[in-house]
Amino acid sequence: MLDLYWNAFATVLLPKNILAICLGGLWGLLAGALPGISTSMGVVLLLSFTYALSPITAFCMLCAAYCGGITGGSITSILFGIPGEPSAIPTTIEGHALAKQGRAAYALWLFIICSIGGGIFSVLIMMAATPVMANFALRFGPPEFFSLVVLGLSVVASLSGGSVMKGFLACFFGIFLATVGTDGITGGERFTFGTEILLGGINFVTAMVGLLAVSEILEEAEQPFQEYKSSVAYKGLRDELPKLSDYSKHWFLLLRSAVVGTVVGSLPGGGATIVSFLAYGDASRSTKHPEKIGHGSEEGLMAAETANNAGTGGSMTILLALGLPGGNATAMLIAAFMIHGMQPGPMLYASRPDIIYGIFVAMLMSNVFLLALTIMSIKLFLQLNRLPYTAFSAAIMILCVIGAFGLNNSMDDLYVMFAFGVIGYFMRKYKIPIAPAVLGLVLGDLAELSLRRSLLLSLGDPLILVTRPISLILLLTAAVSILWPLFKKPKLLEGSENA
Amino acid sequence: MRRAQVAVLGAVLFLIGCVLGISNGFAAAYPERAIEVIIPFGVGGGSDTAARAVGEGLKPLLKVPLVLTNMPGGGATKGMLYASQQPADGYIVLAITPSHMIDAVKPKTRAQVLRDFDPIIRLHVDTSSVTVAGDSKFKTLADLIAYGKKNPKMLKFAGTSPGGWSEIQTGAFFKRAGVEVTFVPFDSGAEIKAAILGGHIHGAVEELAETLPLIEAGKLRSLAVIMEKRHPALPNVPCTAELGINYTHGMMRAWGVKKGTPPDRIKYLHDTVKKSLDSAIYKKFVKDNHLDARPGYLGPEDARKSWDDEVKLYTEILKDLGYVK
Repeated sequence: MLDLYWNAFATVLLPKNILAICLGGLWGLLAGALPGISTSMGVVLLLSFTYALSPITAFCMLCAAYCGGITGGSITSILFGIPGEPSAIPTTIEGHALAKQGRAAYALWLFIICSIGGGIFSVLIMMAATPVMANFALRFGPPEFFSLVVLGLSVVASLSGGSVMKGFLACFFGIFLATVGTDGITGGERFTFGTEILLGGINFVTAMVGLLAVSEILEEAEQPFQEYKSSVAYKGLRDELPKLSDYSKHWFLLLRSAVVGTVVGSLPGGGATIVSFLAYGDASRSTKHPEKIGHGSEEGLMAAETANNAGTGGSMTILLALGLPGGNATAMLIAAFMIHGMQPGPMLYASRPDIIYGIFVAMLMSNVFLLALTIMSIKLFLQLNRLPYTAFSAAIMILCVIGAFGLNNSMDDLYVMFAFGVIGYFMRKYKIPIAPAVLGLVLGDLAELSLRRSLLLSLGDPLILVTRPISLILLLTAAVSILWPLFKKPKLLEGSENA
Repeated sequence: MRRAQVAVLGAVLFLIGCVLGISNGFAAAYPERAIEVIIPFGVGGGSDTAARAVGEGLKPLLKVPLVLTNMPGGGATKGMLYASQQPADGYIVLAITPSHMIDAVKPKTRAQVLRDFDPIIRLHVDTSSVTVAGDSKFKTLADLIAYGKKNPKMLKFAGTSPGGWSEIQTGAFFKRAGVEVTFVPFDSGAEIKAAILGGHIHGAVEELAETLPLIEAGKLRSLAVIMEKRHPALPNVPCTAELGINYTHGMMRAWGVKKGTPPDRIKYLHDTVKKSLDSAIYKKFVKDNHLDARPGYLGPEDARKSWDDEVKLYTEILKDLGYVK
């Protein structure tokens, strides 16, 4: 095995492969950072350039683009408050709050180091234990998945700010929204009112962008009529150079996040979506500053980013071991294998170990090079933050529109985005927290489908959720984390704003 | 005053429209601008890769650009609806799958494939197989059927589209085998395979190309291929016909245009697409996905007949499953 790694390193470190990693990584960063090009689209667009390359060079490029896309998405989330993918929601909430306090550079530092660290951690796990990991992931059936989603939803209690009641209200509103569209179990139409727009359900990304970003612009648009606030002092990357202790004091949280990210990220069908919520929830429970959650919490941002990028290694694990794509971007990588005449899965493991180990090393190197690439590229993005908010918000609105339209080239998505912008605006006005609604919308569908699948499997017996050990443990953890804050501060339920 | 202006403006626009219409309808030879293929599914799925494989071979043969547009949503109805609302001029082609045939059975449809579309070509027919886990207690199809008959509804099979192709083929297969099965829908083929491998579900009736790598690795086991004869990729696995189960239907893929498109344009499209099926890229795609195991190509008239037959078959199956009365 060492022999294989030795050869793989020797191949990947060839100049042409390093160049492929750098180009792929830059393209990924750009694609991820631009709203309207998702990570998977970034990989697709790159695919046609890899036909003529040798397999290893092609995978160096594609793996770097995949990792870069996940990393790049967070830049947009932090600076502009536009989440590119559901998994970027925690980053958007905490990172953008920090950016609005003038600490964008600090937030970016936290995110870069944590996401690259998470990525490298997961690749190391993948190198050491791909088959073991894959077998563990397979033990998550629908009941386990449901419990996992419930645990993800349990972060609501800490996200609610002043009033837990309002938080749950918003969350249930989000879950309700998730039921709109074609029912995933019977295929029937729900709450579509006979229209075509709602037939495919409410698209997460457009609704998220509307609720989080558009509503913020609408609210800020009221500002010029009030007295002009002097903008917060700009700080560059150099001014905000973080100390090692910023990270090391949270080492245990970060380790947990990386492990959760790698394991849960490998679950096909939504694993990659939940990881950042799970880590975020963990951070919100363990932090010494719970009041900061939702208002620029470093721990929340760091945990979510670590887990999110650790998910890339997890997804690759299940792809290489069994040929199962965990999400859209890895599904595109299957196409890359096919182009080069290979079929990922257990057979490839035996027949082409050079490719498998090459990919391991390419993933590792991608993360290493991305560290440098990201730091260089965000300097440019940071300059945008110097613009006065009036100009900046117009730019953000344009990005939102491009992003929502670019998803499916459909005007319907734009209507949905603006409708949710208005809904979000009123939620802000009436102090109903938005984050729980977004959480409900994103996780509601996964929760409903996995619950109904579980009940189909058990022929209607709900005990299936508690008789399976993994599921039981997850549900108990969720129950504790929902109830604990209420016991600790019973006043939260009454909704006093200073709680 | 205002009204007059509007009237004049309207008249001018109308005239421009007429001129454009004339030049469009009579003057130019078809095709004179880009042809767009609407793929009613997302990027990366089976229908998408198939359409793109055909497209790659077709591009060099066309004088005009070829644009492939993904329009996912609502099963496959969103893309079909869009295509049905465009002019019948042969510039919008719809990639058609059994989803559209199944949709045609349901009483409430916004666009109906038999009524609103004319076939250009049937491209190929895929083959499915009855797949269980490699370590499953069901060694043969007889084991599976015996268990299913003894324990009605206890046999749980996964699929992707509720009320769609996946449930139809699962339901039809087990109905003809005399077994009552519980169908559990998942969102993607990857989830189904993970659920089978993890032992959460008994198996699935899935397209062979999707499962073959795991079957060859011994992680999954194919109990039967749904075909008239044995499949060349799995010569040791029996086919449904030899096991005495009267179900051999496979998933077809076709291209169509809006009804009323001039016959010469349909002929042009058919001839060019047919020629493109000989391209190296498409042939490799067919070989990789074992789409050559059974004859697939049909011309416009035969494709029309096959569509009628499919809708009839699906009506029967959907009645059995209780989706339509």
